[in-house]
Amino acid sequence: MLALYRALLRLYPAAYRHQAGEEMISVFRQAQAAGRNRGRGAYLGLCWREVIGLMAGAVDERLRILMGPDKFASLSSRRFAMQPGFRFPKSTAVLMTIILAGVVTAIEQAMSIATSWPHGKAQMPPIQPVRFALFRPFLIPLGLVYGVAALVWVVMFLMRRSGWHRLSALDITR
Amino acid sequence: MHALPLTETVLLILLSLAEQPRHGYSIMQDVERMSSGRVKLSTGTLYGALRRLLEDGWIEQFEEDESPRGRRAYRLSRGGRKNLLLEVDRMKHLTQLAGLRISRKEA
Repeated sequence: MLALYRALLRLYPAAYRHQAGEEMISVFRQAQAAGRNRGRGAYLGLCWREVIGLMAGAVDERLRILMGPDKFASLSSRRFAMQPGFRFPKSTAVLMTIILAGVVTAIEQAMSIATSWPHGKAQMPPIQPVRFALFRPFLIPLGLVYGVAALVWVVMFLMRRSGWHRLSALDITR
Repeated sequence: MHALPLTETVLLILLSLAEQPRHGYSIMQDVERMSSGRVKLSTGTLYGALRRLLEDGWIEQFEEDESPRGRRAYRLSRGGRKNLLLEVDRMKHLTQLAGLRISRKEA
């Protein structure tokens, strides 16, 4: 789990890792030791929380760099301001998917370069164009899933706006 | 500076530091204890909140003298304590109002 923690920590910007990375690892180690003593369920809960927390935190920090601290603060202040209930930001799921797609593409490019590299020759050959063999089958189902999800959301939104769910509570005898 | 009202997580982190300076793991434990196990912070959430509170000047970071490796700890700043008191006052007012309104309805 520590290896996974370190790997996820690499999603954070380098400056952030330099500033808080070692401290976060140290705190995680303490939490991990305590979690193991509490039983398997508690330990798995801790691991799940840490993975989600690190991914969401990395997206936050990357956005902060992309958008600038002031603009980001105005948008992310909802994380600090009280909400009527917890709402998972939809943008997080989209951004996590984009990051995942980026990682998959990078792996594929690296594999393509590695296979086109003739071992034992000193002179570097021209690098073969990257074939998106993995990326395309990944992108099409992903697009379909998002399309279906968007359609379901629109239908649910329209049904809720129409007030159909209040019909069952309507007393027509009055 | 954060806009009031604060989320429960940030409020609990500030309340944890209001009592005494603490290091990261101690904050995580204290928040869990204060919320009777309901709020369990991950390190990603905790350090994201701490960074913003540091940037906004609500808390301060220092190195513990008694720690052999110079472990970092956090304490509430003067401005942070003032803002926390304002938030607690706001919540007291709301609680009083709620109590009044509910008792009036029951009567």
